[in-house]
Amino acid sequence: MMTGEKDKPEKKKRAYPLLRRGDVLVILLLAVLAGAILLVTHLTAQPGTRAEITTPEGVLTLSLEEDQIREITGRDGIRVVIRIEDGRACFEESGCPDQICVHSGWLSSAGQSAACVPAGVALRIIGGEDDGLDAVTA
Amino acid sequence: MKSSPPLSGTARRAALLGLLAALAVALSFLEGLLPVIPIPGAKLGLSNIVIMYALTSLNLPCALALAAVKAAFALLRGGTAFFMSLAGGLLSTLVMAGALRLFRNRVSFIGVGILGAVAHNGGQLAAAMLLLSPALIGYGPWLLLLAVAAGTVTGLTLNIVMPALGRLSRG
Repeated sequence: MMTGEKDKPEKKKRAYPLLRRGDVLVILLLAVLAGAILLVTHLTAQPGTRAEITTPEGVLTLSLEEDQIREITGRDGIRVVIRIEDGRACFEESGCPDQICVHSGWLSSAGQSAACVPAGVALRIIGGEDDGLDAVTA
Repeated sequence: MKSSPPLSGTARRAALLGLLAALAVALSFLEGLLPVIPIPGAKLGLSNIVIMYALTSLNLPCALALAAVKAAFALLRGGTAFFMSLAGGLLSTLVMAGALRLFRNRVSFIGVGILGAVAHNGGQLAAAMLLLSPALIGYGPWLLLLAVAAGTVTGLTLNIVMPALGRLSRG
């Protein structure tokens, strides 16, 4: 490429090439980084013992041992339903428009989380010792 | 046929800025109608195309103003959405301005768009973590992957349409 530049009329260069070498580098670097983080999180995942529910009114911690359904009225009166079953938890229903929280599905490993932004309700799974009590902190 | 007199520099810039602001808001609205990807804050970021164009054809303050206008419209979806949009928008605009300055000759709009999308998601995630729960950090790697995909789409779009837009802005 470099040698023939003087001899033949240079091919008209695009002012905006569709893809550059640097682009590929950026894509690969970030994809590998994301993959590595996901892999490490997956390998070090521990089963959760409790569900920590953050609401505009305070934080509610429930044991994953007990199957139950909690109804919470969040911000702007948006009603969300959190279900705990077989050591997992999920947003079962939400009155929010986007339903992102419901689509997040079941959470069971410590550290996993989902949130309903419109209702201001977040669900997080935590691991470690289960003291067997439902704790409420405001 | 070019009978109309060309706009003066300032008037032209003001008109272009208004046009781009409308376009950015329209694109982010349209995108809201698309099926939701099941990750909070995950969107294609079509308005990023407009911000990148503003960074190359106007300047950084104009691009930041566009990000702010977009955030103002996010206010319609509530305070949390506003802060998330503002944090993501401003951070991504600054990062893209930096990328354009530093790596202009190494990457195309794809690289710039990806870095901008990563910054956008990072800013949004940080705002959501502050306002909702720090546990949301778990979404980080997924948002990073999505940013790579979204940035590629928006960047490629701009790589394709830029020659035509360049003619437009020279008039």
